[in-house]
Amino acid sequence: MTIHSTHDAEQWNAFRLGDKSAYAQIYERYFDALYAYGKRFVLDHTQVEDAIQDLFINLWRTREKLSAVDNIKFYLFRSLRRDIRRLSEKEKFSETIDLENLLLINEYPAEEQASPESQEELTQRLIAILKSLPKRQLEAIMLRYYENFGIDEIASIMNVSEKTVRNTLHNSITLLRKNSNLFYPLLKLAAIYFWW
Amino acid sequence: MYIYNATVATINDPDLNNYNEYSSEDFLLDEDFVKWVKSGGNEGALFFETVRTQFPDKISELMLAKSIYSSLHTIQENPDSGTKAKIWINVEDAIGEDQPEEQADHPVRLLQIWWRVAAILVIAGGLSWLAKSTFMRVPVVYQKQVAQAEVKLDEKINADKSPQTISLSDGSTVRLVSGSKLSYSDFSGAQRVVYLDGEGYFDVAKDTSKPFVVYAGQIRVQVLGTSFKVVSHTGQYKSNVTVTAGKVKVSAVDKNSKMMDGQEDEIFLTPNQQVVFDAKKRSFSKGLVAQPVQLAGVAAEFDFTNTTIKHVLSTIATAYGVTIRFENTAFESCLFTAPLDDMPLFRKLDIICQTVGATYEVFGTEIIISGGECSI
Repeated sequence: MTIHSTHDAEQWNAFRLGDKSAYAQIYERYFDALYAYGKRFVLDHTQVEDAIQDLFINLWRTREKLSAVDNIKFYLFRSLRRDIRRLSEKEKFSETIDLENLLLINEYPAEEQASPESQEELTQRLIAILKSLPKRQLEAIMLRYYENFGIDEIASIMNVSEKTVRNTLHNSITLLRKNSNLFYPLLKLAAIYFWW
Repeated sequence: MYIYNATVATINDPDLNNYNEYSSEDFLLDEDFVKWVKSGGNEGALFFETVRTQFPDKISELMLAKSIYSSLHTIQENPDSGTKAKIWINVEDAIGEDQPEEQADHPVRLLQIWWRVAAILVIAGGLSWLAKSTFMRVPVVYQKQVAQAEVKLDEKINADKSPQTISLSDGSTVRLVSGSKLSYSDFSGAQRVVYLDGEGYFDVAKDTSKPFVVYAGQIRVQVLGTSFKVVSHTGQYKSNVTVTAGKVKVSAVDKNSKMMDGQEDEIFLTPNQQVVFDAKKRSFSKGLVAQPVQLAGVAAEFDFTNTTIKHVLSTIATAYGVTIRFENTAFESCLFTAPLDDMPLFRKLDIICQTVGATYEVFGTEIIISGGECSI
C-alpha cells in the first residue's frame, strides 16, 4: 500500500505540474476500471465514455488547482461516481440509485443446495447471487474485494458511513458463504494442484 | 465475526505468512492472493503451496475467495477494444485546443450537450477510430453524390463546436452535429432530397405527397414524416440510423445515389429501433436503441398495484413500442406491485424480472423473457 502511495503521489504531482506523460499514464492505467465501474450506473455505454472523457478533460484543465492525492484510483472513482450522479440527476434519466436498498438483507433462496462439484460451478453460483443483489450492495462488494479499496475509502466514494459499509459487506459475504455450501467434495478437488 | 480493520496489519506484513486466522475475505485482501488469482496461478505458486501444505484446512476458504474474485471479475463490463484509444483521442483534442486564458471560463459545455443527446438518442456505436487510418481506401461518397445531384444544392457545414439546427423550406429541421455537412435544395422536385456526411438529427415535416430522402454515404433513408437520426461519416464503414418517431425505410446505395443492383434489402424501422449498416460487408443489423424512450402520444401509467405480469408487460410494450415475448406462461398471471415511473425501460424490466425470478435478453428488436414463477 505504502509503495503505491509514494508512486501515486509522485505521479500525481508530475501531472499537476503539467507533465502530459504522467497524465497519459494515469489514463492508461485506470480507464478500464473506471469504465467497468461507471457502467454499473448507466445503461448506455456512450454515457460512461462521455463521463470519463469529461472527467479527464476537467482534470487537465483544473490541474493547477487540484490538491495532492496519495491514492489516484480512489480519487478517480469518487469523482466519476459524483459526475455520473450529477449528470443523471440533471438529465432525469436517472437509474435511481436506491439508498434504502443498501442494507436490505437479500433473501436469495438458500435452499439446501448440493455442494458445488467444481470451482467453476461455485463461481457460476456466486455470479447468480451477485447479480441478484441490490446494486449498491454489489457495488460495495466490488469496491472492497475486487478493487481492494479500504472501508473508509468506500464510505467516501459511496457517501455512506463506514458502519454501513461494514454491515453491507458482512451481510453480503455471509450470503455468499451460505450459498456456496463448501464441504468435502471441494476439499478433495483442492487436492488437485491446479484449478485453472 | 469479520473484523476488517484488525486484519489489515497482518496482511500488510510481507514476512508473516500465517494464514491460520484467514477467512475468504482476508484472502481477497491479501496481496499474495491477489497476485496469484490475477495471474491465473502463473504467479504466486509459493503462496498456493504454502496454503496447501501448511494450512490445509484453509483450502475451502481459499477456494471461496477465488470464486468470489472470479465471479466479480466475470460480471465486470469491459469496454470494447478501441474505446480507450477513441476516448483518449477526444481528450487530447479537447485539451490541445485549450487557450490558457480560457481555462476558467469554458467548462466542457460541449460534452454536456453530447450527454444530453445520448439520453434521447444513440450516438453511432462501433465507429472505430481506426477508420482514420483506412481513410484513403473508403470512397468519398458524399462529395460524389453532391456533385452529381440534378438540382442546385445549398451546403451547410457546421464548423462550430456545438450542434446547429437548420430549418429547411418544408418546415423540417435538422440538428447538425459539429463537423457534419448537409446539402439540400429548395425541394421543388418530386422528392425532398438531402445529402448528409456526419451526424444529424432529423425532425421531418409531414408531407405524404413528397417523400423525404436522406442520402448518407452508402445508405438511403426514406420517410414520410418523422423524427430520426442518421450517422454516416465519410471515411467510416459503419452508418447508423435511429428512429424516435414515425417509420422510416433504409436501403443501401452506391456512390451515384443509385440503389444497388440485386440489393433488395430494405429495412423498416419503427421508434426505438436502429439499424447499423456496415459498408464493408454491405450488411444491415437491426436492433433496439440502447436507451428506448416512451413513445410520444402514448399515455401510460407505470404505478402498478396487484397487476398481472401479463398486463404489466403489455403496458410497457405499448408505451415503448417494443415487442416483449415470454416463453414461460406460468408467471403471466403473477401479481405485481411496484411504482415503475421515471425510470428507463430496461430498469423497469430489471425490477419486474427480479420480482418473478426471470431474466430477459434483447434479440434484435425483441425482448425475450425466460424463466420466472410467482412464488419467489
